[in-house]
Amino acid sequence: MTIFDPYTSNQPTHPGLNTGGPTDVSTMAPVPTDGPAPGRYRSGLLSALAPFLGWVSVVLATAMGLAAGVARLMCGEGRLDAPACTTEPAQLVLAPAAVLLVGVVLAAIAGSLAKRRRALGSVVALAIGVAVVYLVLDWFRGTLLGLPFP
Amino acid sequence: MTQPWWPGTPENPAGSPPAHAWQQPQQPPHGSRGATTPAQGHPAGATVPMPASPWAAPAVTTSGATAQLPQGRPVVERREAAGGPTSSGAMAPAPARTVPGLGLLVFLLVVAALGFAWFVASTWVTDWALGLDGCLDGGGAWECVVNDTSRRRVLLPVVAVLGALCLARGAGVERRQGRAIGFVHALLGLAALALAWSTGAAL
Repeated sequence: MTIFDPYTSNQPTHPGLNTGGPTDVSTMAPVPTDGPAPGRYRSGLLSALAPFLGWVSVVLATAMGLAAGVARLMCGEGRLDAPACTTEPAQLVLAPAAVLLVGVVLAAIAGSLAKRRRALGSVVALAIGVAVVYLVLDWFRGTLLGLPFP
Repeated sequence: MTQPWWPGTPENPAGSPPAHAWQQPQQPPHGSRGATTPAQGHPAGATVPMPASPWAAPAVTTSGATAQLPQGRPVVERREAAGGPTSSGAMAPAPARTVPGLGLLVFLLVVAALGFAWFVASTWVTDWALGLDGCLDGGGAWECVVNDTSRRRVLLPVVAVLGALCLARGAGVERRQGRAIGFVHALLGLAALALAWSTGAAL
């Protein structure tokens, strides 16, 4: 059967047949293009920045925790006289934990949005993550430690 | 006014023949999704019969033309459901484009990042740790832990290695989509490694 049969709904074998005929049936089909459709690309840069934020948060949180521990140790030995010696220990623990949590969670959100081709949402998540990590790091360095870090 | 016909009414008993052709009981379809179609056997090119529901809106095809089909269903949906010969190859996924050389560059970037990480851990970090003990024994304090050496030979190389690996991932994503911009990501990763190495070596 090479033309459209309205009783069995069998389509023509070759596109273009029977077009404009009594049934006025178009047999045009979407033509496969080379690669994804425009606007449906997955951004490689966002796919790189999202895990980078997560891993940098892990590194920074580890460095902050080590710095806090070393500072308290030096305070106990009398080597150091800085705001870190009078800061609540809970704050020295919670600040690295906050950096780790916020960085990893927002990196995961940004990566998921980038995978779904939602570039704007991914950029917003990355910007929020970078801003929060920077602000917490600055507060940790200036207020809690009172020492040059990193 | 004409009375409607259906079997089983006092005017039209169940066994009485229909008065018009469109009153023929409809047969179940063959290979369709339960849509009722008129009796088969019409020659090709014959006049299209009225649909089962004359008040249904005409089907609109992808090209904008209207089609008088039974049940008023779009042509595209019927073709996809029927699974005919035309629906098997037309919607096949497009072949993926290839970017020559990008895969090799990504591989080299990953190898370079891992090699640089091994070099940093075995050389620069070890030297910094050995110098830390001597500085603390000499009466030093915070400046022994956080100084220019720790920034240039520990923190910056770690960040550079992580950035290079993440950029390699981004380049791989672009390579799978056939986009040559992945070369930029890979070269940025190599540049980050080179910058970290030159910064640490200049100390």
